[in-house]
Amino acid sequence: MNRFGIHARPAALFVKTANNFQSEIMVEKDGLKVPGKSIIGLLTLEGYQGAVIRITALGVDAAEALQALEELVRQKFFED
Amino acid sequence: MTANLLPSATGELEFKGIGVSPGTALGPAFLLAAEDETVVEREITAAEVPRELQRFAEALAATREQIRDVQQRVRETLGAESATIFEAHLLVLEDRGFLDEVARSVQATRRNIEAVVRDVAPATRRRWKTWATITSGNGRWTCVTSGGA
Repeated sequence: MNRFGIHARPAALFVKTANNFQSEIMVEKDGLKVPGKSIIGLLTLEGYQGAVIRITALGVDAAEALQALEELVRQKFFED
Repeated sequence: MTANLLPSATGELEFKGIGVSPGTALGPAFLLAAEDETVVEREITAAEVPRELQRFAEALAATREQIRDVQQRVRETLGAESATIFEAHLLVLEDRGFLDEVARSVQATRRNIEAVVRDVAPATRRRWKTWATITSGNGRWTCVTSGGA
């Protein structure tokens, strides 16, 4: 999370990163689970700074996908 | 977002709201839409389903072109960083969940594509954050994105 939470711009970056992989990617927050390749889904999560999200990936490139998405979140979506 | 548009003694404009990023404030978006915009609903036959889906595909392509147009204009006037916000709008046009729901609904309810999108979109729109940015400094509003209530 960057300090502005998951808004349109970081959500778009997340989807674009997820789209680079074949794996099915899901993002979960507070019991709500949405596809990581769906911009509408991610905006539904209403992430905010400090929120804990769980990213899961299933597929041939699952490990690489998780690594890339984790890096994106760790780098605070390159926004700060 | 509330704004005291009468300049104070110091000539400053006061805005109250929730800041979401530097120079950006969160507030209700002004939805510029014709109030008398009505969608004509009609039933279609099973044979007409492919044609409705084709019309939907054409509308998506036209929308994509319009958003890219706006994006380009924003890039030229406000800069590349501001223009990246429209990547989110473009991704909506590729959102599998939204597209599949529209396609499923045309099949299931046998109605024209306009009526189907009208009904599927609000559920989608409700999830959209709406906000407007204020270009810091001159107090001028620039509506970046708008969604439905």
